Amino acid sequence: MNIKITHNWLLDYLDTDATPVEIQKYLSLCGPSIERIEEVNGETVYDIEITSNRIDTASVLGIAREAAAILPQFKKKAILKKKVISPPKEPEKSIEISIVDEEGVCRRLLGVVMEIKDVTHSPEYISKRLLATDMRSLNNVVDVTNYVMTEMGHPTHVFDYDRIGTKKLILRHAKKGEELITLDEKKYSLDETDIVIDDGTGRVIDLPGIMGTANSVVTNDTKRILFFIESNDPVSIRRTSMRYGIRTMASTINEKNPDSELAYKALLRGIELFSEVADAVVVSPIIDIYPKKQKSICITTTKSFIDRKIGVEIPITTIVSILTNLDFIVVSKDDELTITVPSHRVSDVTIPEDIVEEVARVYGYFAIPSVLQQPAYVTQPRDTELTFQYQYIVKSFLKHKGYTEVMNYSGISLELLKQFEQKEESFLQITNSISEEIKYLRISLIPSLVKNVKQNEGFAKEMKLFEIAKTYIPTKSLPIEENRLTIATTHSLDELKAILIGLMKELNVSYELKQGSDNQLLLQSIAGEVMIGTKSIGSFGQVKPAYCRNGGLDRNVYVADISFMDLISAARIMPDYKSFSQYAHISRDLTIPKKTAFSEIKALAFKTSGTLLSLSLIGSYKDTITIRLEFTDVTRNIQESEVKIEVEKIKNAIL
Amino acid sequence: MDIAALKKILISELLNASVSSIEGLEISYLGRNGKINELLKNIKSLSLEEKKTAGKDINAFKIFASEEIKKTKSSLYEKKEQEMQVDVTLPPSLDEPGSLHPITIAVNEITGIFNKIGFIRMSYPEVDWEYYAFEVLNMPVTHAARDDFETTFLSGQPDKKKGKMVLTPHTSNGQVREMERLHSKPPIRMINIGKCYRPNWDATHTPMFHQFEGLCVDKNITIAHLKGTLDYFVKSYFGENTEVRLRPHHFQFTEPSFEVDITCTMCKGTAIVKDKKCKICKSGWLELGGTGMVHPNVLKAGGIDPSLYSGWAFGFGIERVNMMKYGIDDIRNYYSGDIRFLKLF
Repeated sequence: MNIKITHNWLLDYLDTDATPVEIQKYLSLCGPSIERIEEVNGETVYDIEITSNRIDTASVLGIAREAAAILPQFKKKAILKKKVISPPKEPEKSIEISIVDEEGVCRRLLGVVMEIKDVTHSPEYISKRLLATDMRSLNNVVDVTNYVMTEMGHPTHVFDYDRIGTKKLILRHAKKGEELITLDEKKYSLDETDIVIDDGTGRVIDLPGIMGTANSVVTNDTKRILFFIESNDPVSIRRTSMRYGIRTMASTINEKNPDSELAYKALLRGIELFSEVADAVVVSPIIDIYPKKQKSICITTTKSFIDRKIGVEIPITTIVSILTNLDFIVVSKDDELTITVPSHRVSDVTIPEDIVEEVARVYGYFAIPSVLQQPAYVTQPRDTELTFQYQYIVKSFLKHKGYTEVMNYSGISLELLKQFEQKEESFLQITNSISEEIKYLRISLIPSLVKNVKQNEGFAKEMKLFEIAKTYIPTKSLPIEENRLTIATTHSLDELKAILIGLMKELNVSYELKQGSDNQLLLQSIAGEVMIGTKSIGSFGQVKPAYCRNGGLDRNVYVADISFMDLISAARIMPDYKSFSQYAHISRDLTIPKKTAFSEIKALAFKTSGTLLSLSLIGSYKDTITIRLEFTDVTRNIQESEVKIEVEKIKNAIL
Repeated sequence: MDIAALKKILISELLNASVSSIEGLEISYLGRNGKINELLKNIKSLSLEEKKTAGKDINAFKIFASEEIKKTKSSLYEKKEQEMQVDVTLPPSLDEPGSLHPITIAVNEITGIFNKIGFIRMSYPEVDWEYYAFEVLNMPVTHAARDDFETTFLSGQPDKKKGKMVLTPHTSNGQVREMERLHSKPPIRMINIGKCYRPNWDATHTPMFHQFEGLCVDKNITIAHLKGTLDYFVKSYFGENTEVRLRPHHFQFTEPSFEVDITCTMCKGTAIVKDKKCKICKSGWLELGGTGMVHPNVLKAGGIDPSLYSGWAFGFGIERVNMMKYGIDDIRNYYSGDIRFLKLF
């Protein structure tokens, strides 16, 4: 979250000679980041990022406190002006008011009733400061609540006392479906986990810590007010405010656990301001329900621990002064430090490492040297190493062959899944998906690539794409995350096979192509498997045209879909070395009727002849194919007559 | 024929020679059956004394002929070569080039940088239990990052001990998994690069993005070591003159926590480009990402004794560093599959 405060407002709490630019620079380095300085109607305004653990800095007071600790490190004068406001005197005649929290939903409840002169404009300095910090200026009464929140850092609320007919406020959990109209006139139907304030008749008069309701807010006719501050359960505030999308500054602060001790100080400051701007007179005692008082925390650590974590020696006097300036109480004895944490820091500072942070940041991260740690040897699993090593090799190869790498979302839409006749139950689903487009985690990359082909129609004549990504195969436990390499081309089956074979050559993989595949996304007549030994590492072929047409794509798409891990397990940086034959090579062409798959012809030929070196396809015509057989003997010159016999043997084996 | 006559003929033939005839001319004189060899054959019948003189003359002619032919030949070729006019700037016929995804390029670069200082690259599940994504990272059930608005939940059966199945919102789920892989025995030097998922989809966010996570655990690891490593990375990746600064921040799984800034790659940290305020940075600095010293609760969750060991960790977005280094600013294009974008790399 970000807050805005003005420089002049900060000076109410800080005596300093630092300029706004210096304050921005030094606080950003050691404390809250001041992202911008703006000039608004003559006011210098700081826009400050507040991290979720430092809600104590989300106020003028909080920033002043940080500045008082940080600026002296840069030789700047900075003294926190501590204001002590004494509680008002008990009124002689007290007015009726009762606040009840039987369920214990709040940590602290504070309330006081005041009579006011009238509801009018705020003094100029208040409305000017509110406007400069992006808040509205409504009237003198409501403005005080916002003013106190920005100045002190605790949200506050004000009711029209006379609109609470029963003079009772009962905090309780809402009933399922109970209705509420917020002060901005929006209607909400509540849940049992929400917390509301009931006036004792069942009427809801507030959504505490988040927003007031229309039926109890201050109007122009208000004469008596109930100034009310509660310290809420942060988890419940966040849940309710997120559920209804009511993101007020109050809820943003309340969900981050503001200090319940601070709530009382905010109450006193509010009373002071009401009397200043509305001539308010306190007419009730201060109600303070505080069953579980904030306990103070004490941390014991050592100077050597702090030095060891930071990596540089910091003098003990520096450590003590830094912590003391931040309101910690420090007792040091030799190396040991006993540190009492101030109430506004107890939710954040709980362990010695938190003390390290306080010392190091104010000391200045910039003042710590940069040193590389000693190297260490850590074993990397072999398959992990190979995966990364080969991913880049494979991707580069495909790029050089004219293929474009795509990265798609890991999830696909129901529509795409239907296009490929897939069943919903085969997929892991996102239950709170931000978009229907990415709801089903992919079990194959093929649909995404076909979609890519379709969406890019018109941008290129031929589409040549690939993706390496995980698929998520559901199991009873975590899914199997398997890296797949999927290549797609609109060009031709031949083009696809050339790439596939080229890749196998690049990786020095001995493979065979097998006719037929059980990949259901492929046309069964144009499908095959890539075999390494007897194991299939993936399939290739033409995507069923019906699936393409379902997606409005009237083109043939050829894909190869390979298990990346299986592929690289077979890959070699260096091919298996076999010395070349010094002796004669004799080639013979053979034309035969084509009855079986080429891969089978090849397998049979090699099985039959021991001197066969290579077998390649010369051409095919009608039902015949012509192959070229090359023979050699690595020990001597092979004879023509021997080759003739070998060719005959092969011919007989094939036919 | 006598040598003098032959010489005359040669000279006139050379005057008329062309690139196509010169080869033949050379053979007709200097070839095995050429005119010069013919002359040599004819001197067999002469007396010894005559042979001597004739031989000398023939040899001189041979040298003359071979030199003249060579000269004419090279001048003819030179002339021909000079006449050729080729527009070397004409585009050649090329195969359509392919491309790598910008994420791939960055991942390769980053992996190499960390390899050099002994960090091994690991990969951990993208679909993981809440236990690894939050619990062990010191984020209790009530933590805001765990609600429906920040985390992507999956339909898989929850685990009794490890909670619901989620798409990891950061690569930090790898921290305790790496500690477990090493049986809780440091040293740890890991770089974990992976896809992450958060339910945000607008001009500057995509529901899927990439992070690289560094984790170093050992004896006596300090903030100074984290600074040293960040300095090394930033200088290697963004350039020698890049400066790093740490600012206080907050993350549940580190203590202390920092935000890392580097000097703006555009204005070089001056906040001014061509006399105008730099458009991309906040006062000369750019936010790189979050980092910090590993929280003792995280070490404990990984079975490592925080009184003996300490460590640092960081998690940076790859899309972000690409934007900072190369100015690729429209992150939505990364995963749109639009080849007009992909072909740019």
